[in-house]
Amino acid sequence: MAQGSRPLSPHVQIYGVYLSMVFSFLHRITGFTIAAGLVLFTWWLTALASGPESFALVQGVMQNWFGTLILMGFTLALFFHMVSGIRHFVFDAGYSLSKTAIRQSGILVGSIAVALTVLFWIVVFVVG
Amino acid sequence: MMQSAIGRLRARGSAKSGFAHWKMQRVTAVINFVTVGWFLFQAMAMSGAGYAEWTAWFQSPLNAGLLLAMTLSTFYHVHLGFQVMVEDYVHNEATRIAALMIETVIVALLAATCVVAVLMLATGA
Repeated sequence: MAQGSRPLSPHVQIYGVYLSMVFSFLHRITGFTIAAGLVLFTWWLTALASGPESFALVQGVMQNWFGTLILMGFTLALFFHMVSGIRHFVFDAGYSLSKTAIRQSGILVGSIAVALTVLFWIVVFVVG
Repeated sequence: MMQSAIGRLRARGSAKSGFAHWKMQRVTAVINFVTVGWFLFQAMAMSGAGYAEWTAWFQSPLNAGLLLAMTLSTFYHVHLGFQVMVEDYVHNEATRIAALMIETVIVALLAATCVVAVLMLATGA
């Protein structure tokens, strides 16, 4: 039987936007962002292994306001995905699955991720 | 269709590699959380460091080892995560298979490159 003629359950485009949906998407989007950032990480690592000249090139490209902005976005995605990951472990364990709890934990995750990112960059600017 | 004995017995549908996928996504998540958390602390402490400081940092077997573990676990986690997203959003079978193959090749190449780089840095090559 052809795949197209089978009845389908309603998919994402049928529903309105819910907060629970936003946090689910954000987990995936941040995961994707981190994966893209891993290309930068690979570049940094291989440049370091290749010698001072190639490492200087990476530093030259990344050590300006635009590079810092990219890294800030990367760390925000990373912190969000890490904290959101814990939320998903809680879901896996079967806790916090009510509508209210899902909304509250989502907002909590977002807030913690932003706070950790701000804290991280304050320390970076103080130390560096 | 390949099924495990218990899957056939229970007659509750497929028992292929879905659970192993789900489990490994979580196993790598835990390893990632620990090693990435550690590396973020290292990165904070090393901020402003240049070539000499970073190459010296990799001379420590603990640093090189944990970073290697972070790299392998992270790329594996990326591979599993991408697979879920592709299978969820790419409905055309040919496109889906192609996307999964391209993703696997890219992740494998990036991971292999990182492993060689870490080993070179650790041995001072």
